[in-house]
Amino acid sequence: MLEELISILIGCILGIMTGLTPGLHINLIASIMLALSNFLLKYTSDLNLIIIIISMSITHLFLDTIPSIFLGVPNEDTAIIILPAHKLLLEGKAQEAVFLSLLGTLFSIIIICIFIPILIFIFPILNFFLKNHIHIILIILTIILILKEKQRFLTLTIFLFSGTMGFIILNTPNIKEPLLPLLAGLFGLSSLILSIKNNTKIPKQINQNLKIEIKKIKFILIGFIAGVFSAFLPGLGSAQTSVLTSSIIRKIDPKDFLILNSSINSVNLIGSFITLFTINKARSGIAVAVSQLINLTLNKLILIFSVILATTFIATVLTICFSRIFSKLISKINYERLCYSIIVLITILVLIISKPIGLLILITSTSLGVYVQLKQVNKNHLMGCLLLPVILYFII
Amino acid sequence: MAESFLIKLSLVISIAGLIILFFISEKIRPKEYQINLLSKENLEQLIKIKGTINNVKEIKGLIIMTVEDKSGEIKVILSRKNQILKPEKDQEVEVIGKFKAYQKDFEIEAQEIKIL
Repeated sequence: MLEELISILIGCILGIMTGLTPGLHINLIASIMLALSNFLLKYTSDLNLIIIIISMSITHLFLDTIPSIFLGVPNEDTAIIILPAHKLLLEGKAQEAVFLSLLGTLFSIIIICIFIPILIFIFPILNFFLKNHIHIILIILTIILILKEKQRFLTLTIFLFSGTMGFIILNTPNIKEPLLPLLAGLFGLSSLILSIKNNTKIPKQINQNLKIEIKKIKFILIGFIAGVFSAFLPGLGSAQTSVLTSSIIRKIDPKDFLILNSSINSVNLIGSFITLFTINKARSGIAVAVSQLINLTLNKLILIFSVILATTFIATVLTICFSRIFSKLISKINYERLCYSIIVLITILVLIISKPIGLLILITSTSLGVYVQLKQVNKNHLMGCLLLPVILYFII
Repeated sequence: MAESFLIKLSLVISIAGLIILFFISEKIRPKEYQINLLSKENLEQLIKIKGTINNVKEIKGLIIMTVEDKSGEIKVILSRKNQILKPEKDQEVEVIGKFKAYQKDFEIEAQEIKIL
């Protein structure tokens, strides 16, 4: 019992590092642990290694919204919330943005744990019927998304442009972490550049007494259902799922979108363990790591979900604490200098990880992001950079 | 900076960047070979092969496997830390790596393995 608790704590510490550090991904830590597994298994058991990886991923899930909301630095799961989160930051409501994301994550974890027996039964059936038709579903939903816009031709052009860029980048070998410069440019740096241009000032953040509104539960449930699909369908990540789901809902404001996205993210990650158990397919880097270390039986799946629930409690407290710290600090900092610092930091990270070609990707994607924002086209369509390659993967 | 100028500048950079990325991608994309056509002329080149894994073993952090296509087979070496998913026997794979000579034989030092 003590060993397991220590493993959870180690995982939480690693999750804090990966969640709050832009560019540091849980898959990187998991792959390092896998590579060192022969050495680590001399000192601990494979179950404890799994516990560390799971608790790291859950802590990361809660905390990675904080750099996205306060600093405008996204990863592939939080790229899509940058604009609504930034709006709330400028209104002094960044804590509310964190709280809404926390709500989506926390309640969707509880819901998925309750529905495990049903999902174990449903996943294989859904997979059987849907796996060969995913590209048709994506094409239809993309067309719906574009038709909802006023500037349809421009929106279509931007979707195809970003899709082409994504296709080229994801099919070019030897680019390490290609999504880092791609998404950081499209959603992160472009917003920061325009904040500098517009002389944006971050107001003092309001210390809000935040309450749970019952009507928000609807978006948690919608996120849960959408997340279930993205958990077992290949190629459909949580960001694309968020964009497509929001296109189906009639009225969704930025706050609701934050809840929806975090709910989908959570279910996507946790559902990947159920996918691994039921259809023996690993749909996330963490699920891959788990599959390499252990043979997933029902008992071990129950253990995984116990760790998830235990870590959820710790991660909730951590998120609230870090949110308060960031909230106090953000308005004391010169925002223009902060933007420049983040731009420099991301550029250096991209140069180190993805090398000079990553820098070219960053410049191209940032320019496209700036263009889209200035032309007032919905930035969601930039997710074509991931959607179009998935569609083409199934067609070609 | 006038907004219209910024719009035009960002559009021009995006288009130019995409074109450059396309040409770089074409240039660095490795050529696909059948195993029996690989020779001394290809040494130190980045190449691509497709085939089935005949056998896999892991020794001291290295994955050593034999990949076979219709024309022949070749040894493929990969560092374990570069590959989160361990390849298994009978899997269809695409291997991208450097073609090298080792002792009296040829092998591929894999940089990327995609399981098809």
